[in-house]
Amino acid sequence: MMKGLFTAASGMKVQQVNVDVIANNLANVNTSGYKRTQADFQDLLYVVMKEPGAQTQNGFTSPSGIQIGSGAELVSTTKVYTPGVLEQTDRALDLAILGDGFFEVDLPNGQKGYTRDGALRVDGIGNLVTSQGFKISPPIVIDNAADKNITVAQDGTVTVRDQLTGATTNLGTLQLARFANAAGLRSGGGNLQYSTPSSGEPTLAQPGSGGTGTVGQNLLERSNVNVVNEMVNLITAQRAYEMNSKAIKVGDEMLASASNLVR
Amino acid sequence: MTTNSIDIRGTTRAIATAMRGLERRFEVVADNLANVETAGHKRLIAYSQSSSEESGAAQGASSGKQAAVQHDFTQGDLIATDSFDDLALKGEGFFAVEVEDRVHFVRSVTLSRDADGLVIDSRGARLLGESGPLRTTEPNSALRIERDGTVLSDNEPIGRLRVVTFVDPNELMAEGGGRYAAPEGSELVAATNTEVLQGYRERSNTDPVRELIEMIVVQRQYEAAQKALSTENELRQRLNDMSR
Repeated sequence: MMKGLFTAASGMKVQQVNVDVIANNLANVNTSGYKRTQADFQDLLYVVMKEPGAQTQNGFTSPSGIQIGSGAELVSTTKVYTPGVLEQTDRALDLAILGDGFFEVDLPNGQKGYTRDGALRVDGIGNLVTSQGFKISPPIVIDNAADKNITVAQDGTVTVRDQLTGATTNLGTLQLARFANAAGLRSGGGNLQYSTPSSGEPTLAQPGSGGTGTVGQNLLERSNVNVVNEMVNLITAQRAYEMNSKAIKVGDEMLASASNLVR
Repeated sequence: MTTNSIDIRGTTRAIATAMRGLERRFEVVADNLANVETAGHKRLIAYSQSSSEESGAAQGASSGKQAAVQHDFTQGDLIATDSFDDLALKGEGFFAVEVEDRVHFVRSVTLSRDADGLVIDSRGARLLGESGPLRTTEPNSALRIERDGTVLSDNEPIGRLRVVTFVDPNELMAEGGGRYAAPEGSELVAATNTEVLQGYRERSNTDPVRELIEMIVVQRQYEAAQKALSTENELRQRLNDMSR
């Protein structure tokens, strides 16, 4: 009897996590390059009261045995790397990755970070940086950016044309990183992901080669959160939470009625 | 007066057995509701059976009802997730996965790849093809799975998923985590009419409404059993009073 109460409690706990995940997805509905998170659940160990195929007292074998589950638990939260909605912008340094891959950035602590947020800027000394100010790797330096027209080709080649002299210069090529298992990346906030043993080491390639996507200029990739789907998930999570709390209530009432046996 | 009290003891036991059976049915409802959002989960069904000889129940009670429990392996609803890592089965059967040389059977898979390029599920179990674990041609390649289970890695076929059905699925042992283990000597057959759907997820086949109704029924029957016990208790009290 008490087991049923804990089973229902585990159900409430997973729904609580589910709501947390949905809330985070909804909060990031306008975050560039955000990928929605999906919570995955699994059933807990089963208590085997009778093995299937066990001999019963009079020589028959029981066809199915008795196995009762112990509830549910969270098994993983997975990022879903489907493309987000593309938004046309007027900034030359708004870059979207059309397909697979991440921009690699150098973090101040020497680590590498990976992002799909392509709202890039030029810092005071001309480095191409993300909106948080982290340098794109390999570095691209644009001197006197105010006087330059910047063009980023689909294959990542960055060229600038000087508005005063009309001279065109090739400043290098952006690289995109690709992972064996992008779902294994660790999300670190600030639109950054980090490689882990489960994601594997990145392979860097020029956009459009080696399975990476191409780069789209004047485009921003919005989050891939679908608000309607998230709302539906929120409704089912709430109802599931309620039903599990009802199960706890009923279990409690059954216990009360059992304890009423003794006056 | 002692002849009557023997009958009464039998009644008490029968009611107690019934109450235990109802508790088990309640546990099953609680488990089904806890897993209402677990992908690929198969609900348990508890049904009362009379614990007389022909049903073969192991308990020694002379009468009263016990709950037998088995999985309901019917199809759950399929929902499109847009994620190409989600695999679901339409029709009977299970995917075969391998964990530390043990083969398990699952209904729902979220694809992933390990550092060696082997195709694994989100819990790290290797997905089995018809001829062993599946290996991608190139670690970062895109996986496509056809409806017949053929796995394409960057458009190169690398095998076909092993999808099996069981002659008697009730003999499967639930291991938790959506995994089932087959006892030795169980008969498995390659599934023929089952489709593999990429980008879909199978929801739990628990129907919450049915579970809530079952919960109400169980609760009321439990109360009724408790009333019966109280009545029987009063009866015994009166018998005792009469004998004074």
